[in-house]
Amino acid sequence: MVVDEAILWSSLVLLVTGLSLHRMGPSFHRSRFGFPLALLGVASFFLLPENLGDPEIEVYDSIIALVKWVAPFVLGAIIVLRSSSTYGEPSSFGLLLGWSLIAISWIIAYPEHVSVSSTDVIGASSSLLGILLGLTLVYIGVSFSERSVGLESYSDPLSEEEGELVRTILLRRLGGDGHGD
Amino acid sequence: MAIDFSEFMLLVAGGVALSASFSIIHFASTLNRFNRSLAIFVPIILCGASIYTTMMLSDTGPASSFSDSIASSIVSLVSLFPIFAAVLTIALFRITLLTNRPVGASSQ
Repeated sequence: MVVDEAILWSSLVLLVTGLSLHRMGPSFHRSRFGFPLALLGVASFFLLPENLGDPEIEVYDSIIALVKWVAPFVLGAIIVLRSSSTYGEPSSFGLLLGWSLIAISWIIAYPEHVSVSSTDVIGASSSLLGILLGLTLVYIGVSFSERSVGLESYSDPLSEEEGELVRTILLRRLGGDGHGD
Repeated sequence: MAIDFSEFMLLVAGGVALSASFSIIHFASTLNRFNRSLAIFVPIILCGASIYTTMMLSDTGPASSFSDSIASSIVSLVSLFPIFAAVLTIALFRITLLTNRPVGASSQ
């Protein structure tokens, strides 16, 4: 039972770690481990836990119930965006398919959320307030620490090869003959 | 209809614990030579403060109060998703209706 609870929390930690590594970008080599780690977290969350305690079973059930309707919603939203003229190639079939998926997701979600009481909303708002408070304080702390420590060193000037590369990129993007014209 | 003050504080502390835990995991996994070491202390202090608050209010041990508060925060956050989805649906509706019109030469 304790092992299952540890697996549940570890899978969520793995998911967040994977997303964080993925967001580091290609300049950090470990970013390539982000997607597999996140996938491992999702797989272990859905496949491994069996006998969970009270708080963990609530988390597990609520996330499973969420995925059931959020998955078609996200898929539908992506299809609608790609089928609109602003973000992709306009396509009536794509719009129809996307909106059908969004409608299906609302049909799945509606019976579960139709009986939401004001207490639930107040509770959820309190929790959201705590999340926003935490993020704000972390942001203030990070910006304070960034300002309090000055520049450690200046970066080296571009080498001849790097300067040539930058010149080539600028010429390719902006045009001109390379002599200021 | 309403929740009492201790329950409100438990939920706020849970929210703080959730965001601070997320920040700690993010800092730890993306640690590199450009990181400012001072920054990671803020979420650690926030996590400690939220665990202490939850322990005082619920009379449980640190581990169970931490997991309870984060679990209640995740469940509450999940219950707000229909509101986020409703806002997104309206935005998608606007995109579908307003951006699929032919744009004339005089349009700005």
